[in-house]
Amino acid sequence: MQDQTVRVTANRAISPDFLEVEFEWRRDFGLPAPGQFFELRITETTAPLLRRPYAFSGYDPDRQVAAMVYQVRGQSTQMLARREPGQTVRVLGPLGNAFGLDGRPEKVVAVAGGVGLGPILFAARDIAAAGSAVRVVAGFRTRDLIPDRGLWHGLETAVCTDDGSEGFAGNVVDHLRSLPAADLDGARLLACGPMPMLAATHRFAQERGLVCEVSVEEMMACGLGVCVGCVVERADGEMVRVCTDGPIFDSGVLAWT
Amino acid sequence: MDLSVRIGKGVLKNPVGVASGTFGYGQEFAQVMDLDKLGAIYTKAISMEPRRGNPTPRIVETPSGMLNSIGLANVGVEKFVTDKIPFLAGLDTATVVNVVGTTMDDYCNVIKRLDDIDTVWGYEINLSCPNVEAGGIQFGTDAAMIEEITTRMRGVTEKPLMVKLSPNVTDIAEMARGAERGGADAVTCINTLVGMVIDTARQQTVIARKTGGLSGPAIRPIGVRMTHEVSRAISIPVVGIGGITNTDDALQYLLAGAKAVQVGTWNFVEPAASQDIAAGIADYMARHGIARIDDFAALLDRRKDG
Ligand SMILES: Cc1cc2nc3c(=O)[nH]c(=O)nc-3n(C[C@H](O)[C@H](O)[C@H](O)COP(=O)(O)OP(=O)(O)OC[C@H]3O[C@@H](n4cnc5c(N)ncnc54)[C@H](O)[C@@H]3O)c2cc1C
Ligand SMILES: Cc1cc2nc3c(=O)[nH]c(=O)nc-3n(C[C@H](O)[C@H](O)[C@H](O)COP(=O)(O)O)c2cc1C
Ligand code: FES
Repeated sequence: MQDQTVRVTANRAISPDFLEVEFEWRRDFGLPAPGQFFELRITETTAPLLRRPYAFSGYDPDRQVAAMVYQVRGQSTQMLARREPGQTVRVLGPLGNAFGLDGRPEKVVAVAGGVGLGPILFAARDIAAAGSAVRVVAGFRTRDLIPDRGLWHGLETAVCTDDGSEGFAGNVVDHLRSLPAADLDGARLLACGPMPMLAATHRFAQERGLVCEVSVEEMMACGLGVCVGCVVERADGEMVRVCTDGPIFDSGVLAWT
Repeated sequence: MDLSVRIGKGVLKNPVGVASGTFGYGQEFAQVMDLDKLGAIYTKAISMEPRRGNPTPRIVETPSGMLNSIGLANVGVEKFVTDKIPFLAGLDTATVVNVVGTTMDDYCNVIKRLDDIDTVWGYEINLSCPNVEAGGIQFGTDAAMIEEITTRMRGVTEKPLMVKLSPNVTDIAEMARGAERGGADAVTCINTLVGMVIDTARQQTVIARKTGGLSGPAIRPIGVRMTHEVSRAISIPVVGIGGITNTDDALQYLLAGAKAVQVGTWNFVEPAASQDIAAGIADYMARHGIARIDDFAALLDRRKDG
């Protein structure tokens, strides 16, 4: 883990909803693994005050550049969207654990909702490169919000839209249900997206007896495990920190309310 | 030039510490900074039993600040001794244990459990918990109760004993006098201010428990003012805290009358910032011909309307 000032190398819209930023990440900062995140600071002033957590969407060890897919939500992401190549940001990372909690699985179905696409594609590319079978399922509200299809180039990807305007009509879990049982047999599910989507994916995994790894989001102040602001409850009642005990959890150990 | 600070029977090598609840138990920060540059590490609040803390959301950003409602979640005193003390003991910086409880006995029992451990330098008493024996009113909002609990704790330790003051009172100087009468060696000034943020789209408070403690640069002028007021009301040292981000902010507290300072929320933003502040203070002292930390106190009053 390192805290560094780095240069933005690219920052562009990839859909009406999503942007992708790339920035320098030297190998000696620590190689980011899929599922891990960093804490970003984009101002020299005290507003916005806290850094924000974002998941890596890729890493290129040759160019020593890391990437992240994001959505403008509030002040920090608005400011980030205005950053030009050549300008600097502060990054603290890599933080948290990575997908593949019990080592690299043989067969994977990687499910993305919204901006969860970034880390899911990173994981899928990594797993495919290692020779495992991987299939991506990505959900969007409507056709116009689907990003540049080049993002999942070379990966078997099923696109789902809530309104049926492209690909599978329905959400990602509806799509999983529609797959032939053999496609899911023995597969490990990886999921990143909004909480309701993670909960639905978890329930589906339980029904089918599959292991499901979810990337959990909580409000974070430090990202380092010290403020204890980012906790989620485990099924055994214990409170665990998303930033250091996660953000990736076996969905079976969490309490889903 | 002398950067050391005497508090009761103890000496801090420099006035710059890191605040309770914003630095864990130190270990996490070792990767990004040199912990030995700190005068003290004030631990997360420690209670007799482990605590789960409050429901989430526990934190929300506010203008140049944040609200937290962590609920004093901590590992409990036994785990603190076995899992956290060994690391802290290896540092060349004082470990000040922030103590919390819901009864007076609770507070005393935490101190009794820790007092024989050489590397525990002293205690900072967090009075922001509701007192179950007194019907749930906060220990820290009644001067007589502050005096009583301080007296009780003074009875179980000779080590430096600091009482952390809540700013959520009408007259903070009166609370400080209660601590001094009870035998405290110093007071810490200030803890967080109670605040609320409402999500208008959902028509509900953002923090699950509705309110949270406000901290960060937003509260700095209040911390400085209260440090100024309290340091003139008592003769024991004041440890100034609230919104410190750099040397200049720390100097404001020293000029207001503090003998030491703590960096809190800013550790989340720039985790290594605290390590440079002691050197920055030394530099300022050299430029202004200030020989010791004690000499800061008189500087403001030399000015006509300081
Ligand atoms: C481990 C982790 C990985 C993340 N990865 C990504 C990513 O790859 N791309 C991306 O766009 N976003 C990601 N996020 C969410 C990202 O942190 C928020 O979008 C960001 O904090 C928004 O900041 P802001 O100042 O623009 O908005 P704010 O004004 O802070 O918030 C705007 C809205 O977003 C919500 N929000 C803020 N922070 C979070 C959070 N941590 N989790 C859930 N909701 C939040 C707030 O409740 C509010 O409604 C991740 C969060 C976590 C915890
Ligand atoms: C997340 C968080 C947790 C805190 N936990 C404690 C605690 O356990 N005990 C305590 O005495 N103060 C606690 N505080 C208060 C700080 O120690 C400090 O008094 C306050 O934040 C003001 O300083 P700052 O503006 O520099 O943060 C906490 C503050 C924050 C932000
Ligand atoms: S964000 Fe501070 S403990 Fe996780």
